Amino acid sequence: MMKNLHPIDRIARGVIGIVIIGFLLLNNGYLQEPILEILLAIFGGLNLVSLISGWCPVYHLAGISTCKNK
Amino acid sequence: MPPLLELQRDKLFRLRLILVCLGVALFVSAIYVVVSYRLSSDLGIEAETVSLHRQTMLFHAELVEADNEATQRLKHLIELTYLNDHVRTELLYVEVHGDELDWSLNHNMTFSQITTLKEKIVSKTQQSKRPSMVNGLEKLDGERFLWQMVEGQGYSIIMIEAASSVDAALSLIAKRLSITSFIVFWLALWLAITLSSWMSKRVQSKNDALAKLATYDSLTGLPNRLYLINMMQNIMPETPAEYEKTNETPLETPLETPLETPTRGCLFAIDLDKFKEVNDTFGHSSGDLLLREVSRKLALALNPTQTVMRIGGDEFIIWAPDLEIEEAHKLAQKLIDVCNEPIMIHKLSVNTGASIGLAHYPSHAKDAESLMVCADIAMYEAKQKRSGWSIFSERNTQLGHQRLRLRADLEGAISEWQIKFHYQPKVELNSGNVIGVEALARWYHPTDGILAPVHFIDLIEQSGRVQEFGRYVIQSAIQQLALWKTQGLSTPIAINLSPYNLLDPDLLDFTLALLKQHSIGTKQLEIELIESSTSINIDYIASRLDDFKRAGIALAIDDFGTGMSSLSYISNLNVNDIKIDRSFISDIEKDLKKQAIVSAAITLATSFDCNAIAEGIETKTQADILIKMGCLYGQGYYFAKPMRADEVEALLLSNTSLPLA
Repeated sequence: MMKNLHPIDRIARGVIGIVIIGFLLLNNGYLQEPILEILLAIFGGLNLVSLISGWCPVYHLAGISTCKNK
Repeated sequence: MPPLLELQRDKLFRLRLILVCLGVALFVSAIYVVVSYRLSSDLGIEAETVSLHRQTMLFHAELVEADNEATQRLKHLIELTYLNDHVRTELLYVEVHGDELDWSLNHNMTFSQITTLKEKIVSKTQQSKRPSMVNGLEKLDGERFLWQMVEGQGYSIIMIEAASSVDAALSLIAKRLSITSFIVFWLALWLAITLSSWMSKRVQSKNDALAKLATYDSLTGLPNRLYLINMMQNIMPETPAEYEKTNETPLETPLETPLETPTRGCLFAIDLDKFKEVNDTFGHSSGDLLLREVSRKLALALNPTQTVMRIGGDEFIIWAPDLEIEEAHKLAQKLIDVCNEPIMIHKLSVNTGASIGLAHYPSHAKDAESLMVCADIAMYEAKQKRSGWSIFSERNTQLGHQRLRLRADLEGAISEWQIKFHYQPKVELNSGNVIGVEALARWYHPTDGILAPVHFIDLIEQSGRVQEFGRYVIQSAIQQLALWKTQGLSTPIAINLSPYNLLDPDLLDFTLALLKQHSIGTKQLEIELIESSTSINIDYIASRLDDFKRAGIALAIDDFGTGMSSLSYISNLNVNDIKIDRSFISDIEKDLKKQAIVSAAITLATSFDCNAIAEGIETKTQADILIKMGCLYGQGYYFAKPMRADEVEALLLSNTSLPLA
């Protein structure tokens, strides 16, 4: 898959993803709302995918790339 | 360059869309948070009110049923339900009145709170329809207090409690709705980014299509003039700003123009020599076919860095970056060869030929417009010399500038009657009597002096004023005839017209109306048909000329023997005179071949029942030879040079025979 994220973008997403997934795992039932937990899990998961692959599905759909000015 | 503007506009559009999406998300979130907060706190207070009501009823019942130690029992119950470790009420006040019983319990409430609330309870109870069982909600010191009063069977009990459901609602909302809002924001952002990029892609594709439409020629698929201007602006920093303004539409040049501008290069201006002929002979669709074929061949002859553009009917421009003049010579020759390759049209092999002018940047010109003018000048020179291609040189700058100036002055030449006529007598060779005069145009230019037709006739043809000029010539001749008529002269004037003039459908009516207006006979006007190198359909010309002839206007074929279709002219056109070209008369005394040709022409004229007139007779010997051959009429410097109207007028009035002694 073609990378479409600039390293800074990638790192920022990684930090957001880790914080959110960490919060979900460690919040100890703070949210008490499964729908929100699922949404946050998806969101955090996508950010982690971006961190690992350097690729963002939304950027891909929108045809945007922050990966080094072509 | 325009593309930059285009991108900037897109970015702004994206930012706006993102802001709008975020604004909507924020607004929706705010509404949800407020409504949810109010809903949950209302529900909570409702539940707490019901619960307090039931508790108070219960305590009241206990009071009624307990005999002794009622207060002890009540206190125990209150501690059990309100002040336990699991569900602990922060603020609580209970007051009981009965027979010989006045008891109260205060948990964390201040004296002022209690007195204020009790006053309110008393006033509410008095207003109530059922004073035995009243409840309510009061705000005090930023706290919400629920109260309930039950009265009956000798006992009254008041309970006041701080409502906790509002705080609970707030904390739940803080947790869940804020995270929901965060997710909504994120979705809105994604939506905005995706939407904006989708929309800008659509706009971009439309823009590209428009730019392509505007900068490419639909017939040949080659870039057009606008593209050339865009490209030149990129390449040549010294192109004047006002020139840049001519390109008002922001356009993106899809060409990958090298950003590091090549500082050198050659511009070729190409003009097909016989395009008009093909168009006229085979029709426009064949002309289109020819253009497509030539375009394709030109494009194939170039390397990828060089660009060929079609900037007008049969005019092409080639820009070759980083090409020095020596290499350009080779390329020009290659292009000439390419254009000379025959092209099959309607199963006929057509050879168009081309003239190429070549100018070098930056040694010949420093900006785009001048460079194109230089290339044009060189191309014009090549066309004149029929040399195929020509390179711009300082020597012909003068010529080029003059042509440009003359082109601009043409408007004034016609509107201000600057083009006047000189007249050359035509004589009967035997007697020297003048039988008529030929009108020859001279441009009395305000600064350049008197200019011969060679300097301006092709400019008129190029500027599309041929028909206007035709009428100008006819009008001038008829005015001269009218003037001479007042002086008793009736010498016919012959004017030169090109076949293009005959495309003017009202020319005959125009001519006849003028003749009638000045009461001049049609016989006094003669038309000499210049055989233009571009021959329009001969049948059409024949029918138009027949109309003139039927009207009584004499017709002549000018420069007979030089053009390609002279013989078809003479066989198709019913003319009165054939004028034998001067090239056959010069040296006729020595050249036997020329004598043979002239003799044949005279025989031809005789058999077609028309007069042969020899042009360009310069010596008596030539005149004598022609007389011997049977040629009856002639004109030339030997008899008289072309002269001004007043000079020829004096000559005609003197009624002398030529040549003057």
